[in-house]
Amino acid sequence: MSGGRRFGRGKVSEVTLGDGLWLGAVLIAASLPLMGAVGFPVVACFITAILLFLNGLREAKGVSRLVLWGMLLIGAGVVWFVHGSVVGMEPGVALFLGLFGVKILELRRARDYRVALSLGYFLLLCNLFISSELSVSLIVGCLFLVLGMTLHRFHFGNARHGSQALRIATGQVAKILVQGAPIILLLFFFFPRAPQGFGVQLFRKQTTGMSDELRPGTVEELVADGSLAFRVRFLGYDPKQSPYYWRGVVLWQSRGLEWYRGGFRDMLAQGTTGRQGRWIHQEVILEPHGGYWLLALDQPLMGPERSRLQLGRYLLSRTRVDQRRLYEAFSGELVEPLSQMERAMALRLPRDEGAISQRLWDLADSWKGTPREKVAAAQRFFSSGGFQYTLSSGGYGHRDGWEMLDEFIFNRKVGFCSHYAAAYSSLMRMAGIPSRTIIGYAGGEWNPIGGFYSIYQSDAHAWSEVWLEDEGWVRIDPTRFVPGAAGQTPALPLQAVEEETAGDAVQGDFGGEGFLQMRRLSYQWAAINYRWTLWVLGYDHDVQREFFNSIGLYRFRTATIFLASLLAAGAVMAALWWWLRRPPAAEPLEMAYRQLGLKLARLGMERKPGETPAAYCERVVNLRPDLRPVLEPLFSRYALLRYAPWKLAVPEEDLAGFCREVAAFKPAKTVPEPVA
Amino acid sequence: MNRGRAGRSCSMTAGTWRLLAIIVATIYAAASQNNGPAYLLAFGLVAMGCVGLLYGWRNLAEVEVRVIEVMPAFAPPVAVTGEEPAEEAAADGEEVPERVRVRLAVRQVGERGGCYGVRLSLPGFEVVSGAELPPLATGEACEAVVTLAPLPRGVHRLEEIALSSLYPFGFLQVTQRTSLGGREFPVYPHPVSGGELPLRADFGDRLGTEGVRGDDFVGLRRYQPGESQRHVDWKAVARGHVMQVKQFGGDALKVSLLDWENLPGEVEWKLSRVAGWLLEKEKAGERYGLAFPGGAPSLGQGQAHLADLLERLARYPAQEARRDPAARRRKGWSFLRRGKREGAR
Repeated sequence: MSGGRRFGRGKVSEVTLGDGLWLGAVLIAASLPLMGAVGFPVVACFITAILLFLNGLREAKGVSRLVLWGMLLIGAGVVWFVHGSVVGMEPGVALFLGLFGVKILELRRARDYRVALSLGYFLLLCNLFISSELSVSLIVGCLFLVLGMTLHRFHFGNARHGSQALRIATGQVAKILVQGAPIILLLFFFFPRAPQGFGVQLFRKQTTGMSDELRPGTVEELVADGSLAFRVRFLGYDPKQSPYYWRGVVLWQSRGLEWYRGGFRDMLAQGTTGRQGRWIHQEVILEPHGGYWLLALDQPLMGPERSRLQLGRYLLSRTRVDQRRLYEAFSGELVEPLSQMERAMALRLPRDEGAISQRLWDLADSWKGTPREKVAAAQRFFSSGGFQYTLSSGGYGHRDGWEMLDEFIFNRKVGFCSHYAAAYSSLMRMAGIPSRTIIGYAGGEWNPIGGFYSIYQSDAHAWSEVWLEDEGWVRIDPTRFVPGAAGQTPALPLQAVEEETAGDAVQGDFGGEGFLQMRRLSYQWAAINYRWTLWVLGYDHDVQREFFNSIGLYRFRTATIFLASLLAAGAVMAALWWWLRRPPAAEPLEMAYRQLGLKLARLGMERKPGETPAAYCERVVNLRPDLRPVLEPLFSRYALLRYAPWKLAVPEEDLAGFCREVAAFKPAKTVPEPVA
Repeated sequence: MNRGRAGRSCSMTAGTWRLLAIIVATIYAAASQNNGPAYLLAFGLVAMGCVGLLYGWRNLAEVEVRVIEVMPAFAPPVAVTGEEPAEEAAADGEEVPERVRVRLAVRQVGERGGCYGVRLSLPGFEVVSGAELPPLATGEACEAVVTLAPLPRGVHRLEEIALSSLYPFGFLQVTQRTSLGGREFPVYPHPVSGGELPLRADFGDRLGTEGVRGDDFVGLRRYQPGESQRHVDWKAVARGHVMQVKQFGGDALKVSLLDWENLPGEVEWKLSRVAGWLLEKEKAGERYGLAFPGGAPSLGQGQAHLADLLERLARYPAQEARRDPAARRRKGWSFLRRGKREGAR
């Protein structure tokens, strides 16, 4: 091989240092975004393997077997140490990185190089699985281009080190992808998407998020988490009248400062009779959280397919939300009677006498009057009872929830929304008012460019609901009564909208055009991200089905469309293949000779198989002596063109002349009468 | 001469299966994880494969290849039993090419595009070096010299030339075959020198006085292209004869004629010895000749004469043909040559 290097053990490397550098650069760039998921040590091992490989190429001696086995052991050890298992998405990717690194260490042949580049595409795939952020997808897109350029460069020819190769590679690969864009788009929209739950699911590590039980500390954990929880777009409605409360899970079972979903968790809500006002139509993009709940504006009346409206009016998915979920839901105000069972559930307290301290009973009993007066009294208690809002309330140890409640109400008096909601609901029950606690999110960021709300994990919130005879379930957010919590409670949407639309106010508050520009840019990015999520990430089996229906394919099942498209694709491929593999056209000389044979065959003198030109000529001329002056020079010329010794070059004009003469040869059907 | 627009094909390689495997695996993974960008990645690879196929196809569509010359060579030594090992002609430091080299002209004839990553092969022959062509941009041309692995003695035929490339991504191999019309080239017998050979005695006496360095006109010889035209017999040319060169001699030049029939031993061995003898004589600047049965002895000197005689040796029928010596004597070597052609058709 030209340009090859000889290795120590007599092996010739078909891979140059330049090739190695390209490969190494792409793979290192592709492994960096994985660092967060697979851990720094694993990525470090992978990069070390690439550097060792490059060093081996530079010194033209390859990597020794000892280093190879050493790296294999170290890699396996690191993966085990970091992840403790090989099952699941993150350990799987880590294992892949480790094995890939070892594969690169023993890379010598052109074949290995091609295999490594192919595995590079799997590395890109890993990136897409680990993060569905638009930024990561963009990085992967760029690396896809560079990987294509690396492949192109490797197959460019023996001068693949030059800048010429790079220039042509960039142009060609970009051109190929642009020309291939219609194929990509067509396949993207028409290739049948598998329904949810297809194939082997690789579960992600539990992402942080809301949980379905409330204990001191469960919500505080989320405050620092700035990651996205979900995004909502309202369709044909602009709700401005109430603060945004996004209903997650309704907790029925009280244990003082702790709340659980309780024994009736699987009960469904009653039918949506007696609805009032209009339904708010919303489109939600929910990030995966590993639970079952589907967020919707308080209160959801109707959920998407494969979801249930639970008792207490909250949406639960039938399948675990391990992947981003795009759904539509309807919310609205609803007044419905409280059934006996619900009343019993909403008033349930521990049966044993000593569970709740006397101090707490006394407090609850001190609120007198109608239910509404009791609710107001409790609100006053929280606003003027010396309570304070804090994010660090300290732990309560492994104590009973009612003991915690006693401690909170009478001693500590500091807490977060989870404390206040839990305490308020529990105390309401003790005062004889049906109550429940709701976990969800409150607030959200309005994106004026994209026209949607972004709700982050830090917006997680808990609040209470009490049943009032003439008003139904009334939302009470006890955190709002606590001094110092004003900034932490959800902003009114009206305020949010006004803040963004009235640019002057923002400018006045934060000063400077630059900040506004930054803000606008970040909104723009979020808006692009939203569209990406909606159109690319959200295009799943259901959305595709809708798309098919909208273009008139509603009569066909997806399986039928799939089979038809497979058949069509197969037919196109077969046609293309047939066209590419069709037998080659004969060379001009042979074509002309065949033409001559055909012309003579029309006179009944077909060329016999294996008949030499001379013998053929002889036979024809004997039958038709009148053709002798034309045919003899023609045949001898053919023989000369075909069989001239290798030393004699035949000028091209001769060939052209022969072809012309054959074309001009038009023998009479019969022997012409000799002219007297 | 051989404008090869036809005969292009494409074939699957390991890269094809690798690409298909990646695409299938990626689509499966995308489906099971319901991951839109992963679908995009898979379809991007599909697009790369499909469009890349067309690029690879066009890469070889506008390339023209032509054989400029085939540089003949000598065959590697053949083991002959029952003969004492003789000193090889190459041993005295003279280079004897053992590998046939084919000089080719390759040209990109399109108006756009180029011709990249092309490997050249001659089906039926093993190419040792020079198979990789440099990248050719639009309208560029290059000359390639391809060295073939050692070949046995005889006349070989270049039936076709194949240009293949994995361009642009290595997912498919496109091959462009161009017919060379069975272009022949000789591989001379391996030269073995040393030892005396039985010369035809009477010949030396008759022409012994002929030489090249004298001033006396001794005869005419056919003009070889590239020769000096100083001694061309222009008068004869004016009369319509072929170009001939006047030869002068007269000094005592040794003339040797070797008679094939008088040589002992096996055919291949004899051929090797004769080849060695011819090289020796040419190197010594002598006038020499070779008499084959049924043919007139040719006498002469110079590279062209040497090449002519060596080619006759190359064309000498192989050992098996000797079983019918009568047929061989009747038709001579030319019989087999024609027969071989017909057989190859």
